[in-house]
Amino acid sequence: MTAFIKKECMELTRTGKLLILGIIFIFFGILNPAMAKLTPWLYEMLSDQFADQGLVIGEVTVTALTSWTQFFKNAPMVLIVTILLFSGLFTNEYQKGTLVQIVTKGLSRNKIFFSKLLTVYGAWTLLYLVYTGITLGYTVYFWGNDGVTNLAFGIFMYWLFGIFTMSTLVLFSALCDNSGQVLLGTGVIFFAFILLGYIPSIKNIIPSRLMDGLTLSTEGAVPSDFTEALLCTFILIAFCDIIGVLVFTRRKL
Amino acid sequence: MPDIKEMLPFLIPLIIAEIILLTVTLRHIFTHKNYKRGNRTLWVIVAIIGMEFIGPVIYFLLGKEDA
Repeated sequence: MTAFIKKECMELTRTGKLLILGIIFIFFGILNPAMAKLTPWLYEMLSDQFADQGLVIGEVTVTALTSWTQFFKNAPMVLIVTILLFSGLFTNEYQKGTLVQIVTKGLSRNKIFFSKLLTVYGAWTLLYLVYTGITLGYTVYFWGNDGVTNLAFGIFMYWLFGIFTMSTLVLFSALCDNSGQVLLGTGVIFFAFILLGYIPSIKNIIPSRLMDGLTLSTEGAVPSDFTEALLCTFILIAFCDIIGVLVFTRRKL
Repeated sequence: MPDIKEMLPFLIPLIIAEIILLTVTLRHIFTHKNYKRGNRTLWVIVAIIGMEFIGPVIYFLLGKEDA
């Protein structure tokens, strides 16, 4: 199994996927504080337009919170890029038939499935750490980190949401034959949960609630508000992984 | 526009990342003969024009031939 994980990691670096992802995550990581730094200037530039419409803009103060707002705003972007690049994780191998040889040589399908799963989880965790680390570094350097409460928990929740999305990706990879279908399936789930988030009665228990980490700082939410959503996400992750491995062990390669 | 000096901590890493990505992409384009679609001239132009990250990403997604 470690050998197969090694092969997966090597594939990531050799195909340049990790490089592209790394650079994109670094880019967005730098962009968050940069946008926060530019906010006063942007408002100033737009103030003439606003003035025509009767809006008057007062002094804009930038704090660490502005930077973290950007962080949570850009996080879906990096998640979508990750999904795009990992959509071919299983399907490319189905199409090339490269898994057949490995299975006939005796590597169990469970091991293949879980190696790939772990690789995706690992890659998301690593890249997310880079993204968070860069934003954190700049934010602390420029504004200190005052006024941002329970930040670590908010960041953790978004990470978990990413893990959930990766699980659906892997589930659809086990179900579908080409990367287009995988993208479609994962995308439908991703946006379905965002839409479901608008229904007040269930909005607190579905995984997309985990994207609201910022409310911990802005609207006085406390970590215990998210218990149901966390629980639900854990169950769904387990569900995706179990169904995924069951489908994968039975499907035609 | 804010003082350029204030933006330097952001600009320098961005420029470095950009240059690394562009170099890797161009190296890849020049060391490979066949592409999924398009030809060498097209991809060099795309990579250089879109060098603010989007060009190289497009190349790796659409142009790079599968191993």
